[in-house]
Amino acid sequence: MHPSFFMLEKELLEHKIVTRLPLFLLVFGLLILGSIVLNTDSISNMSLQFNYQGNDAPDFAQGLSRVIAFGAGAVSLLLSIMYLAKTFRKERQEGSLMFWRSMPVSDLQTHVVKLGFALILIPLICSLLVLSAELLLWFISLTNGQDLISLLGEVSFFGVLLSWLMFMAKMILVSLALLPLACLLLAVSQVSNSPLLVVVVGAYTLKLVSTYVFTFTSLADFIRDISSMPMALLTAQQPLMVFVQVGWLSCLGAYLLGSLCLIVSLLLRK
Amino acid sequence: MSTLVSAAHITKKYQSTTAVKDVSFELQAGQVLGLLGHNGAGKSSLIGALLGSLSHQGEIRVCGLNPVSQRAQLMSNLAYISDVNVLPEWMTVAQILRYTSGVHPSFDISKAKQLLSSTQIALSKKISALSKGMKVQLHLSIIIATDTKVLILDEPTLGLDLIYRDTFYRHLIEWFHDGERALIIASHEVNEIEHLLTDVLMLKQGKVVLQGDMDSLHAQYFIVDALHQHQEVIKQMSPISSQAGLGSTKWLLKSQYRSQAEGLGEIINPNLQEIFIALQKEGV
Repeated sequence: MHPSFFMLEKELLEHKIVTRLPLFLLVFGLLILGSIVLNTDSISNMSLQFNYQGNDAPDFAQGLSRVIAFGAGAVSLLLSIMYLAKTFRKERQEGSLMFWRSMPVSDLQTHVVKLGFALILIPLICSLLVLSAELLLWFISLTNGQDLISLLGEVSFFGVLLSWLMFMAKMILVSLALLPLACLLLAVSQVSNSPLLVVVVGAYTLKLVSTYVFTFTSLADFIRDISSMPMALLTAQQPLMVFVQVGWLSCLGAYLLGSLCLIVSLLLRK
Repeated sequence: MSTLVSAAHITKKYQSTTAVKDVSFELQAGQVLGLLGHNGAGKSSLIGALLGSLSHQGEIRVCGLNPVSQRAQLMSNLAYISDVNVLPEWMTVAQILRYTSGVHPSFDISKAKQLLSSTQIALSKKISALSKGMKVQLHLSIIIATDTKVLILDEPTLGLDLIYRDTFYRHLIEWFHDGERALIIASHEVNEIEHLLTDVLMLKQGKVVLQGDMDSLHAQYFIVDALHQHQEVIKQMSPISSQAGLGSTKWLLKSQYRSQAEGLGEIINPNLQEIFIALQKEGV
């Protein structure tokens, strides 16, 4: 097996919250659904009232899928950012850095594995939360038939798979948007014990100084657009449009900045 | 014998302080180098340069590789144990063995498990639950289970009791004689490591004050235990150090004065600790 597999396994062992938080949320969701199933009478007695404008009636099942996807996406984003800010700092603080550096693993491979863990594996774990939740809804709709269908609308297995695939596609875009910030956090966490604080305070300072001291609003706009992009992607109906709205120049600038941060992080690791 | 470590004109500066100044040495398979010096002599900086974790002037090659630019490749053949635990405390023994077997191409997990089976270190135990001696033993077992060619030890037995020290050195000697290997030991416990050494590199304020193999080292110095009445004559021989006793004084002298000193008292061969203390105190 490739060394990266063992490195990813080590990250999973070291950062248990990555698996425990989604698992906790799943169990929590299960308990809520379980209570609904056990109280089937209350479903049949439940009534919903919608107010809407326009010609299209709202689809409650789709709305619930969106809530699940948004929740899982937000958890994934939170876990990724927390992990990126912590991973290098923890090695440095606990003194295990010399041990990891004594292994025949290049700094570039370490960075690639850590970025892969934050931007691929964590969203993948959270996608299992989405898949499990959707499968549960589908299962309940099968066993609890008309009661739930009357509440949520039709839930199909194909719909479950489609929701999961849509979530995965969205998370790929979120990870792409998060990549420059991920590289920045990796670099800052090697020199600071509070990398998130440094990045947030630094970004706000830059925004304020550029706007009020130099009356140059483009930098403040750039920081706002790039920092809000992952969250905007999570809530967007058409995620690709978020990239269009931010503009190719800002995206290019962010990736150039991200590349620079990655180089700095690699140099700091030496 | 192949050259495993070569360091040429190594200098390490921290702003205005020079931690290591123009140090050069070569180490071949079968050699054990004692890196000696008191605190702040430059031992750790030199070790940092050898491990590629400190930038420096001069050129270092370990197994023909540059420790900075070819670190990942080099770490297949180079290992390091210090007095400070570097093993991740949150892992269990089984997890660290599995990780090492996954990323280290020459790690033999069954050999590591076999070595650990003769100790009290259980595979299911967390590293944080192990005593200092057990942690050092675990680290050494991991290194022994790899095909490491060069091992650097920085005060490895500091804080260990006599039983752990004995086990540690026994395993170390077995590992050393198991192939073409070189060992660098930095320690204050000169008496404890003297019997292991084939070569010595003594540093003082970053500079080399003594360098050579153990045989030539013993040939360079001698001690004369002379009565106080010979004090003035011996002082003419530029003694390196003196230790006054009851009625006589022990003088450490360079071998060039041996024939002159022979009639003045008993000639004794100095041990490494005596030379070490004398050279570290010289000029202070």
